[in-house]
Amino acid sequence: MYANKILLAEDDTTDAEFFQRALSRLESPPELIWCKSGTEAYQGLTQHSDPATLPRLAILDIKMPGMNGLELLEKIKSDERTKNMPVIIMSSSDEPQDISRAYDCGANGYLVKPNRFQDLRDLVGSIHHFWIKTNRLKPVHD
Amino acid sequence: MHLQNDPVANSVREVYPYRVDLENCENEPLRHIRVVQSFACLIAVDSDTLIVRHVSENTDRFLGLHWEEIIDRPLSSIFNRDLTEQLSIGLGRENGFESLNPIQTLFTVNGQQLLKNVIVHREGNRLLLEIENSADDFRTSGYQQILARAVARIQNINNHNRLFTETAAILRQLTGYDRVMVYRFDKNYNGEVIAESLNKDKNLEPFHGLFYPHTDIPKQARELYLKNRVRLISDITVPPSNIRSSPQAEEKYLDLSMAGSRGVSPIHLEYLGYMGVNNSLSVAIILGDKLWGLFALHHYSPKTVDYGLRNLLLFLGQIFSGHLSMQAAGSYREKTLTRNLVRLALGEHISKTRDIFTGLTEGSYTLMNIFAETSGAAISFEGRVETMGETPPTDAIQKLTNWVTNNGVDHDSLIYTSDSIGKEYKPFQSYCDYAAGVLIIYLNPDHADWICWFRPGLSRKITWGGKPEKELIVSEQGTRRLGPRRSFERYVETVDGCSAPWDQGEIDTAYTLRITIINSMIQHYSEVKQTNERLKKAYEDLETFSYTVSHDLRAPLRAINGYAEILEEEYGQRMDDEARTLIGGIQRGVDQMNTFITDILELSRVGTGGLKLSPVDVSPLANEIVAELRPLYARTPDLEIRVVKDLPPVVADRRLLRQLYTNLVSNALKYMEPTEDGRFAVEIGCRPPTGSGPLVYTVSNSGSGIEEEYLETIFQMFSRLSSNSQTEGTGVGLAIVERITSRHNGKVWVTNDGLGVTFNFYLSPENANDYVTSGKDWPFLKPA
Repeated sequence: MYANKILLAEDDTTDAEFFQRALSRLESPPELIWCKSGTEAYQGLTQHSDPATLPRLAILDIKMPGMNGLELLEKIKSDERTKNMPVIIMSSSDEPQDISRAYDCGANGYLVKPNRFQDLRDLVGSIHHFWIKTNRLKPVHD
Repeated sequence: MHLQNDPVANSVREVYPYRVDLENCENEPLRHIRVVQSFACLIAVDSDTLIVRHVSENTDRFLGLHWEEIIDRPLSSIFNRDLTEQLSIGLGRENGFESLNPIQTLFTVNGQQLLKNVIVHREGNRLLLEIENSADDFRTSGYQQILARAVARIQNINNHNRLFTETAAILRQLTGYDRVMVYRFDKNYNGEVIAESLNKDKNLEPFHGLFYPHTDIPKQARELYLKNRVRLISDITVPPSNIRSSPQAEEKYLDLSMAGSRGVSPIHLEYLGYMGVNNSLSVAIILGDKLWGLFALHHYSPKTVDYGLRNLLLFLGQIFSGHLSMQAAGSYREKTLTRNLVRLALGEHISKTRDIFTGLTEGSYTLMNIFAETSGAAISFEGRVETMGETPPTDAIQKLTNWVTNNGVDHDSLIYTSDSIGKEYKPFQSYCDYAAGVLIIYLNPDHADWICWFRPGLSRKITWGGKPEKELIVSEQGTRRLGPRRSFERYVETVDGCSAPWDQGEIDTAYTLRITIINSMIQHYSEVKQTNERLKKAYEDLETFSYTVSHDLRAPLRAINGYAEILEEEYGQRMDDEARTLIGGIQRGVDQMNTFITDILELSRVGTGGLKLSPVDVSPLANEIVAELRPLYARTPDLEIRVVKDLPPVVADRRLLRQLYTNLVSNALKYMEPTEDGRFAVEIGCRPPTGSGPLVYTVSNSGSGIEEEYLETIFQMFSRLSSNSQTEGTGVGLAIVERITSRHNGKVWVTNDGLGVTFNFYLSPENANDYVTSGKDWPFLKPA
């Protein structure tokens, strides 16, 4: 079983804070692991020798200094230990080529950052409901 | 009609090898005439053997020998040893006999020892010897002084206007002729008497200012003047002497080009006879390689002109030609200098203003200054035509240049001139007052760009020395022929439709101006090219910039918006109404900014990426958009949005076409105004097809129409019709529409018709025809 944690790779403090706030409004919110860069996130993820301790979901921003979200995504999806972890790309870009590149790199979902906090709250609720509460993803091993 | 009655002329005709009259006088073989004038006898010998092969019948008068005693005999048996030695000297010299002539020799005639001039010319393998009397009063030493004085006087004439008159006077003094004329040819070889000196005692009618038609001195006669510059016709009343040829002569007709005593054409004899002239002496004035004119000397009674005097006149003619060409060169230089200054100024002005039109038509020097007597000028460059001064209408000028391209010039020629364009190109007859002359330079080989100048028509009065017509002459035997004109009554002709001629200097300047302009334009073009490249780069940068900025702007906006919302949610209870209103203000500002960013992003997207073209069914697309937008206006009462059924498909990038329609429809909804009965209406349709050109699609809304001044600017970025901030919108929407249509090689424009205001557009992307599915029957395209 994956841990009840969500990893957020986001260099923008405000966006991270909003995400945290939106998440905290949920009933029994999962723990948020916030990494300020792709490199930090990747280091954190590869420390887990046991998949059960991996976050249940990773949400990655695209534009980050150093390793960007898509590069991080590729690394996650090419690593045996992490490749089953669902990854959602969350970006302010709604460019079709960004979206299709994300899916090409193996993203499980693509979300455009909403402009309104209310919308973000709704979105985070849906993510939680879809990816975590309904537990659609089978754990790697029991 | 006149009876032929000139016995001398007739006698020449009898021995002439060809029939000669005015109909064929242009071809009259003057040099093959078989007579010599009576003032000399002629002997032609083989230059190798020195045996006589041709001889004139009048030898006994000059040599005391009958011609039969001479023909087929060696020269040594006829002439003394001294003369034959001189001949062998001349034969050995490179310049032949020029410096030996005349060889003065004593001959015994009727027992008397007489001094004769022997003049020798070499013509191929023939030596021509002319023997004529040497004038008793002619002393070379005396004439040398006269000559020196005459040369000095001619060279001291500084005033161009007096050059001709004074030279004529000098020549008359020198020769004692009754009339000395300076006769100048125009380009058609009509002659004009430009100066004259007359014997005051003879009460002669002045010919000064008269014109003589070119037929008076036909082409082959003019050509002979280039070879043999002095021509004496000594006494037209004395019959000439026939030339006898040996049966062993190689040639049938002896070439008499160089012979001073060459017989005179019967036509010319008749001509002089009608004029009352007994003796004429002409000296060629040659400028460059061309016959510029003649000194024409007339005497009304017989007159002997010694060979030495003729030689002197030849020399004076050369001095005069030299003086004339020096003066001409001086004035050419001066004019060329002036024109070159103007040319350089024009080139500089083009470079400075970077515009061919401004460069050539404005400033202190313009096209009107470069050539004298310009009435108007026109420039055609890259499809634009500008005129200055007085010119025919632009379309007439364009037709003229086309005509010139097709008829007037050979294709490689880049210049055309005419001083009577109306005669060559009839439509220009009516512009003759100010455009009788034209000079065109073509800037490029395809003749698309040109510059032309016009010159006004000069109504010229030409006073002919007699009606320039031929007359029918019937001989006593009843044969008919055309004779020379007999009437020398003045005849005034007015010639319209001619301008001052374009001289060679002006044509040369036109050529160099053409190069100057092209060079200035090349400089200009390379600058434009650089600017274009910089612009292109800047444009690309701008697109990258607006894309980046739009994305990066969103983050702080989300922050502002998010904090405002959180503030309202978490502290709303504790805030009073005013505080909550203020927070609402923040959020509205953020919303507006978001719309801005979205629009700018859309705009930058239109410019990038390739078009994915396909035929798009317009009606279903429009219906989709209406379905999306309609809910926003759910509360507008009596709103009717109509999409015309079965609009023909258009080849377009589907995504962009959708954007285009979204923007046009939301624009229509935003700005619609109620009709008189209070209803709102928007219609998506198209204009009736015109048969040619792409179909025009329309989006129309009810409203009072857009003011004229905004019709153009409405599609510019950030332009909004209403200054009323109540109306939403960023002013980018229509700019996007404009970008989308232009990316599809199309156009969008607005008209105040249809429901009130109508936006029209068409798209015609490259290769659109590849997509059109033929055979499909679009009800809309059926004729009504």
